[in-house]
Amino acid sequence: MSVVVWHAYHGAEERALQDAADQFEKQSGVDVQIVAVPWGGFDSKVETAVPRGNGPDVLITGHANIGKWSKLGVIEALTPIEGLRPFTVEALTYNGKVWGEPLAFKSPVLLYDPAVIKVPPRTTDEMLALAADHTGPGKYGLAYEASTAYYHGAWLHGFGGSVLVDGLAALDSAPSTEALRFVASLAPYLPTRPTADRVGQLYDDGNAAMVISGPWFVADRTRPIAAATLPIVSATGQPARPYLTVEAAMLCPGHDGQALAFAEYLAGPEGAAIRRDEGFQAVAADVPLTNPLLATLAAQAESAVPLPVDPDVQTAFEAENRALRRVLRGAVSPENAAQEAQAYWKSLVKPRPEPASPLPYAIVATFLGLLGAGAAGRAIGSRTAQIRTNATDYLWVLPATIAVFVLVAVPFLVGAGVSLFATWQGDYVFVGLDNFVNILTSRDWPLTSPMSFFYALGVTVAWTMANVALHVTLGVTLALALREPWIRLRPAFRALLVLPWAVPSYITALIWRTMFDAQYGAVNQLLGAQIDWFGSFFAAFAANLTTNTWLGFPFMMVVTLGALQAIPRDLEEAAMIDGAGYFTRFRHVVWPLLAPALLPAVVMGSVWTFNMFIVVRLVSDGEPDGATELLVSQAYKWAFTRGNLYGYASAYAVIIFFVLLAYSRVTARLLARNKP
Amino acid sequence: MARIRLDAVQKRFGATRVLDRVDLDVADGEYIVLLGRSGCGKSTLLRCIAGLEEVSEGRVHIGDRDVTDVSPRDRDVAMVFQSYALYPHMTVARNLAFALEIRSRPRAEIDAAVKDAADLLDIAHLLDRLPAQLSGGQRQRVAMGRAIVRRPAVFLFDEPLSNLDASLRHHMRLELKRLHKRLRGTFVHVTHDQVEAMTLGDRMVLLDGGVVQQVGSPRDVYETPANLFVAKFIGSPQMNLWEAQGHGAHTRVQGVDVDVPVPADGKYTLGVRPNDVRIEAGAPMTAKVEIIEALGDEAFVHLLWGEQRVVARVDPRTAYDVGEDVRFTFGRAHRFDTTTGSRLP
Amino acid sequence: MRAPSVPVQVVVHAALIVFTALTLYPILWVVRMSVSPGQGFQSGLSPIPEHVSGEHFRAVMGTVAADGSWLFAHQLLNSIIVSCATAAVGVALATTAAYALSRFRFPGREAGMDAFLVTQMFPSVVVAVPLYVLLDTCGLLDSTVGLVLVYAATSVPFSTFTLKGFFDTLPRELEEAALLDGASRLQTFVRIILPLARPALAVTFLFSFMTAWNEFVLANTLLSDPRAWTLPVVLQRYVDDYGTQWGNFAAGSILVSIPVVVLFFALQRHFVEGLTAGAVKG
Ligand SMILES: Nc1ncnc2c1ncn2[C@@H]1O[C@H](COP(=O)(O)OP(=O)(O)O)[C@@H](O)[C@H]1O
Ligand SMILES: [Mg+2]
Repeated sequence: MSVVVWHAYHGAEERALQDAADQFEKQSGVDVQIVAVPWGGFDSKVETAVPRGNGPDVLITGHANIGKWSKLGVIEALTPIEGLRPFTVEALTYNGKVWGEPLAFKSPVLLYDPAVIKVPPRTTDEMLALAADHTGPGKYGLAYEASTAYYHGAWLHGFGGSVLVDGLAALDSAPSTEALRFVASLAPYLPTRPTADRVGQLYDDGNAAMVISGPWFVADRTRPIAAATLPIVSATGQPARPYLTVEAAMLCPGHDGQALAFAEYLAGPEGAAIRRDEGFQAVAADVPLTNPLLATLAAQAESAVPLPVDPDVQTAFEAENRALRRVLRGAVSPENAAQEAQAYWKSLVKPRPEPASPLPYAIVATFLGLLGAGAAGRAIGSRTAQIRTNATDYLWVLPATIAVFVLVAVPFLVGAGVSLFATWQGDYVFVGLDNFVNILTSRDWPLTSPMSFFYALGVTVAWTMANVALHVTLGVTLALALREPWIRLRPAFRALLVLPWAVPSYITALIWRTMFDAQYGAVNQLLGAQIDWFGSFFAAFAANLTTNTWLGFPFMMVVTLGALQAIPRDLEEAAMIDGAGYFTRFRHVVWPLLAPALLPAVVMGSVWTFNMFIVVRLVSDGEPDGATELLVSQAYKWAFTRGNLYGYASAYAVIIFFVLLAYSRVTARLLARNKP
Repeated sequence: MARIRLDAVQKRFGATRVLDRVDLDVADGEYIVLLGRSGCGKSTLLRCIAGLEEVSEGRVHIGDRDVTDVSPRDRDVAMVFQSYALYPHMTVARNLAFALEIRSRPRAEIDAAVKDAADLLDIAHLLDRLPAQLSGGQRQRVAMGRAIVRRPAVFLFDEPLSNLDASLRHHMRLELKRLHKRLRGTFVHVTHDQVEAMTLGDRMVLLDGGVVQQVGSPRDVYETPANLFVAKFIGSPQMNLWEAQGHGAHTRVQGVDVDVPVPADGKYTLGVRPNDVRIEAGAPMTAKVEIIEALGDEAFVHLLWGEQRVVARVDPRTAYDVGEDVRFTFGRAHRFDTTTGSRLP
Repeated sequence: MRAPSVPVQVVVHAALIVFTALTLYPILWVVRMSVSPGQGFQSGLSPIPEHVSGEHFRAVMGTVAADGSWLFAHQLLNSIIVSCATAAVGVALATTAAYALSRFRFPGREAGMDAFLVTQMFPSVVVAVPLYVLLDTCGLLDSTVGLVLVYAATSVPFSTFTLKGFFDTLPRELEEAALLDGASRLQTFVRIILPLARPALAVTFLFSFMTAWNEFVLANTLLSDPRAWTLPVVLQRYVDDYGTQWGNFAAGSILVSIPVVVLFFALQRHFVEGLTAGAVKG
């Protein structure tokens, strides 16, 4: 037996964890397997694998999930060891139990360039003054991810507010409004819409005097950097209180008997010392933290607020993010933003639908099932003779059909079944068609709101048509050019032009995002313009479209290159002799022969584009205010970032499926009509 | 033994009937030509013999076997497609060898057979080329080579010469004839070209609208066409045809008394080949010269005979003037039933 | 075919060069990040790196497994095996199905084609968990077999349609000739049809390969042992809540792209060679 540990650490922290495990193995003789899991799939992997008994013995992750996971039975409560900083134990307490051995804690602090800032500000007024002094063309006094609720927490708490009060969002409270107003006053010294990467680059280039971020930021820097606790909010005299994350070793059900021993060793003084000295962690064990950064983190922790474990915080954060983006963009006053955010939150937190009786549904389903089976039986019965004579034909299609049915269709049907349930913190309640009714009647939003199904449908249709048109135009044009024998270096061109397909889109989509940056982006610099690409629907849509066109044309080009091989060139030569120019030849000879061969790629391409959300997520992320979300990215958000409403998301998926089905029926009809 | 026998073969594509009760008996070693207009069902008939199409009704026999339900690969037939259908990804040598390779023949035998066929058709120098690197005539030879390489009992040719130019076509006609002598197989040859049919076939089968119109040697068909269709189809220029009315010894065509060798009573269609229109002084009928077509070794004179037209074959050395009145008479004449088109005695 | 006039050629070449340069621009940024020191995300106007270092490539390729074996080599091999197996299985399933759909007329043919198209309409958001349960039940978790089967099945509908479209253009006489030459249906398929379908086979092979090559969500859910990981999982390890190690990610991205470009180079000759020429007519 061995103790299996899942974690998502990198670099020094990962090495320290491994070293601590090695030490433990040496001392106890217990085998420990440290398994790194990509952070991007960590939660979903845990939630899928652990309930089916395929999880690890120990999970190392932040405390924010303990609310959900303790309900799902993914983790077990334990009694923490002695000698830990009390606030770390407190953060891991939920429903009166402690859900992990605290290992380390992290929170944002004030980071600054010691070459520019001699004395860090003690109050926000001082910070504003310093920021003003160090802001100039291309230079920012302060840089942080101001439009995220996570960083905003420091100010919100400093003004005496809180996102959730008694489990309900309090986004329009007086302190919330004050905090928003404060952020608005920071806006002149902040870069617009900064991402973590942008903040890092600004600092490394010496263009940001102060930064609000955590220890993770320090590790990657190429320039010296100093840390201090966040300033006192001048208006209230209270310290800014950032969110605190406590990382812990949690035990999964059915864990190995030695798992607890390992968790205790890691948390205890010996493991803590290794993690502190080699992993530069602010450890939870009450051992001295002398390194200046760790000391600052410890000092900051005094005032920090643990991230709420209530799963509802996700929705409150989403509403707060939206308010922050709008305030920083100057689209709305802080007062209105606060009101809007509260209203938006209310629309996100659906009242739990009434459970429905499955009986009528079961009757209808049985009836429809019998009807379908009867129809199928009759169809087969009336053609038995034909089926028998063609029996061997079926052998050719059988393997593919079985594979697609079992591995594609069945999982979807099962997933679609979830749409009949309301899911809430892991509970499944049968609600019948309520999710569908909710979506299709746009119960929670006016039709014109970007949150409504019909708005997203309109955007998705426009998105699909624009993309497919561009993919086909570019792909066909390039394929035609690249088969002309007089083009030099054809193989090289062809290979270079498939690169957008070859390079992982996660990185290239993000590069495109930065190319659309208002101030630094290559696009604006090339155009000599100052377009705020994510400030208006059309600009953001265009940015998404450009990115996806870039990603998608090589596939179409390759398909066209293949399809062109079936068209004999002598046909074109005949037309040439008949005096047809290039475009006439294309229109009357090449295109009519090419179009049928491209049809599968175009039909399928439009279906894929319809369901393509990675670009929207990475480039515009729905900006402005959800206006560029597609149906599928809405479904994704409902499933993963708005309180895990799997039932609702699944209903979205089923509706998407039917929309596409209708589309394919219509195109099939049109195609049939166009045939002679 | 490769006699081919078709019993009341019918072929329908959906509701359209393409072959209608075709009976045919081809002797072993015979060279038979299927002749008819494009679309009349020739290829379909050939494909029914090959087994590429299932017959809708009727039976097909090859040799002593009823092969109606036998798959094409087991019928021991070879076919040269109108499009040649050479395997584009294989060299000429592999195209020729394919049938033998499929049958897992020993390598030496395959090589020998390929060499024989290539020598026979004079394509030995092309063996390493791909079909795309061949001219039309060369492709045609390769296609024939592919058919003969495995010495089947029956050879089927679907318009094998129609894609060739005139001189090559003539050359290949002779070659086919020679090939037939050498191979002694049963040849079924489809064409829409009557010259091909006349020169190649031991017998020919005339098809129209999926119905067999006449079967016979080229001579028979030319001399005694079984019906109006055959009469019109065979012979160039076409046979002269008029509506005629007979009263005892008198025969009138549109009010003009004509002189026919064998008079008959009643209404019928009278046919006279241009060969049998004789222009000579003192002949009973008079017509005006309209057009003269001189073809070198022969000439045709188109005459206006009242409201009728007459074409006559004449000695090219005799000079006629357009507009001149000439006198003529008929040699041999044919009579057909005007409504059914069938030949009258 | 005759080439157009020189000015036209110059313009077309110029347009092609400009377009290719624009296409490569974002990729040059990936290259720059992969060779520049530090893990920061870089952007700006000129993608020419200021300092060059091999640290990221060393970091990505130099990983070592717990038992001291070369981890990256394992993972690269996994990716290649999974993707090639996916392409092989997917293309094998698709070619037979496509051939039958193109040539045979049997009851259920139209319905089957519709059903294949319909499967492409399932949004992937909802399928991961049921698929996990399915593979877990079959004992195919943490195995490349399960992964390959799922990827192959995903790629089959597109491949089938593409191949069917291509088979439809092949002259039937070729098969009839083979049939008369004594070949069985299967022999005709293998020896005549498949060689002629090379352009379409190349396209679908590349497509199926790419389906597996860049897939992350399923691979991450199904594979736990780092030695079984495919490269997309390796890459995602450089992404993190607190910030991404862009230097490593970029270096990894370049490494991931190289086999694709190599494969494309190997296959591209098949995309650009007309094979049906010479089949029919003179
Ligand atoms: N597979 C088919 N389906 C429907 N009609 C066909 C088919 N093949 C041939 N026909 C029809 O049968 C008739 C005879 O065709 P064919 O035998 O090819 O004529 P030909 O004498 O020119 O070789 C034509 O009218 C043609 O349109
Ligand atoms: Mg024909």
